[in-house]
Amino acid sequence: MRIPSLPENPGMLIEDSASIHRADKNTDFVESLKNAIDKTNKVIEDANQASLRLAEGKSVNIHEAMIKMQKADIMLRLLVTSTNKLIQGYNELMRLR
Amino acid sequence: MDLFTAMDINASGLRAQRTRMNIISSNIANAQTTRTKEGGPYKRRDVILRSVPFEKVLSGVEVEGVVKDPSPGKRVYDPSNPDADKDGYITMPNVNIMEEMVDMIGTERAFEANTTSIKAAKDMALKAIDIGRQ
Repeated sequence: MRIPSLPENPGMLIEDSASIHRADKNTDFVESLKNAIDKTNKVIEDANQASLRLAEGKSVNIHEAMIKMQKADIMLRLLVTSTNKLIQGYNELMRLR
Repeated sequence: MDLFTAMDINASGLRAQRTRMNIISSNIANAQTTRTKEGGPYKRRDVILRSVPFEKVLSGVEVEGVVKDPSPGKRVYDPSNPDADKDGYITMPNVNIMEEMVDMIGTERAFEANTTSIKAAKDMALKAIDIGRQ
């Protein structure tokens, strides 16, 4: 079975790794950024819930809580990095004037 | 098939090893138990692991079930024991502490291997994000 290591559409790499649903042709960048923020927020919320359940003694899944927290950490870092890149691009455009 | 998938697969491994550890604990705790609900001495238990398909070609693991070890337990001469038969022998559980210890070390190492793999996946994801940093 063939597992492509390169995405079919290399331009969508960031969207792919954040597993944001593919942006339609008419959704602008702000929309997809909002989606990414929503998604990241959901993962962080999930991690919070898991650690809370662990602290309350309702759950004994230490590793699951830890993995959720790590996922939240990675997704937040990805979001911050891509936002920083976006702002960098905006500043670059502003400097053209 | 992102790096989170790798984490999820290893999470299933951690879950399975945790269950195995529980079973080993129960074996060690009951190494001297001569009375059980179903009668007779405690029987050693073991887990059966099974791979579960996980997205296309990948597979995770789950505990399919817990089976009892049917081998006979050691017979010990102890006529004062209330569970002794008319010849004065009692049947001890078929738990061998040494074997359980070895299994325990194996479980611990397997758990460790899964956590190391999770750490590697996380490091790879962070390295990938590092590409975007200036």
